[in-house]
Amino acid sequence: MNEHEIAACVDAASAANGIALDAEERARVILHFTRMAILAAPLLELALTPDVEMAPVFRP
Amino acid sequence: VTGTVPRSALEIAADVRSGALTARSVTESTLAAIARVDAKLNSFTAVTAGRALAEAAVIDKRRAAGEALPPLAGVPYAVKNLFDVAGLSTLAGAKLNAGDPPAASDATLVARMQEAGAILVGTLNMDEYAYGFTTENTHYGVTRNPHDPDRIAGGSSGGSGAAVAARLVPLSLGSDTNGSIRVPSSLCGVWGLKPTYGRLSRRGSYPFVTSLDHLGPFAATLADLAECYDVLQGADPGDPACAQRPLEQVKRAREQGASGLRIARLGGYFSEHLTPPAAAAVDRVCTALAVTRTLELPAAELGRAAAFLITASEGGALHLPSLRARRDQMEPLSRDRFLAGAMVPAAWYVKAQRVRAWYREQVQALFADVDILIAAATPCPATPIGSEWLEFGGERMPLRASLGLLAQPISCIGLPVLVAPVARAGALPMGVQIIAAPWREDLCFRVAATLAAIGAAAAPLPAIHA
Repeated sequence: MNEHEIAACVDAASAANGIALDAEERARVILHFTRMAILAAPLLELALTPDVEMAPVFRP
Repeated sequence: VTGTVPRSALEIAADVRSGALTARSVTESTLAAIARVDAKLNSFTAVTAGRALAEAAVIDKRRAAGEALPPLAGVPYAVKNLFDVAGLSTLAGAKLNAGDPPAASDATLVARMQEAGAILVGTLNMDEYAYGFTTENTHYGVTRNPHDPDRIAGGSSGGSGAAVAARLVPLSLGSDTNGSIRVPSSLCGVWGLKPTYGRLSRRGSYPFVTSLDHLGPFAATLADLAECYDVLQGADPGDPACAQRPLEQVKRAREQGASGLRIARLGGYFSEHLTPPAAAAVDRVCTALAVTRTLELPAAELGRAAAFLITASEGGALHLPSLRARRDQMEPLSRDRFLAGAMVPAAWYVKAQRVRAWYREQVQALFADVDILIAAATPCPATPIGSEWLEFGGERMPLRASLGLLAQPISCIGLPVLVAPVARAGALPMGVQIIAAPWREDLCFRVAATLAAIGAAAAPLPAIHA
């Protein structure tokens, strides 16, 4: 994600979540989101087969 | 400072059992020590004197009646303030929770400690909602490291680490989602255990990231840690993640020592994120255990990234109502991270959970050929209060989010870890992680017992102590 995409994502998600950010808050949230996007990039690129499930065992 | 040698939990229990001490006298001296010493540390957020004296009276009455006393009879302990304690609001480090109704009953682990005869003397400071590694809590104050009060105790269970390090209590309980038992154990120089995910019941504790939350004990001696862990075990239908496993006690396992176990040091990611004191602590432990093998955890960096994203997303979602309406009352050091977490796309979260499952399979395969993995618990010893950055080599990382970077890839897949305190004369303490396959806490204790027996690991007594 580039910086414009990150800013757009934060703006859209804050609106969808009903969170009004002021300009300073928005800048700080974008900083943290950018750090997460950097961490997420290789994880999102990893190719997994469809059988890799997120919850292999559910015990009611 | 009294100048006396602090007594371990097992010594206190033996003295109460023999009649050399009463539970009341132990409790009174503990409460006096907290009043005298904790002003310098700020590890406690509440002292439960009334409850403690009442619990002590029950123990003394049982002894007077000739009853056999349980294993921790008369032993004082304290819990991170995210545990429910009947009659207290469960703070979880948050100002927002201070007005919550008092807990109606004790958390399962607090109830188990009471059944074992232990005496609850108070609740302990933490990072707000456990989202931090420093216990620099804006609402309740910073918890100071007993070995150097200008430095952090680590977090998020900072009060749990500091109170045991200062010998205010021989035992405490904390929680660990990404390192919150292991980081303060390392920085405060005490023994800590993050058991296998699902081993100990979390019923009655304030959640942070339910996919990753664990509870566990801290202690000043390894024998006390084993005893405490053994009384905490047991299935609990009240925690949907708590496994239906029999008690697998570790007290006896310790006697076998590390002999015959296949032990390797973790390289790669785990050797690239070390300051010289952390590297020296790992070297000391590996030399003591004659470890010659080095293994890499496949995809450790991806495991850490998965834990980071799952944490941010689940934590942000949990606190969304407060983030919308009352975030001005939330911790300034973490609320922006909670906000960013609430905005993580669902596809990222789901992928992180699937990567976690894949990564767990990769690491499980490793255990066919090795029993124990050794790694530093933190990249560095305790840092000065207020530090913003962690630096090693040419790399600079935000400290508050990075102190757990060696702990996260392990808890992400729920492996049991025992932190051994490695003390060097004149240096700050540093903890080393002793990591085993799921449900093999016994092997962690065997290796720790060897380190303790040869003096390679021990909880150093700080100048500030009870």
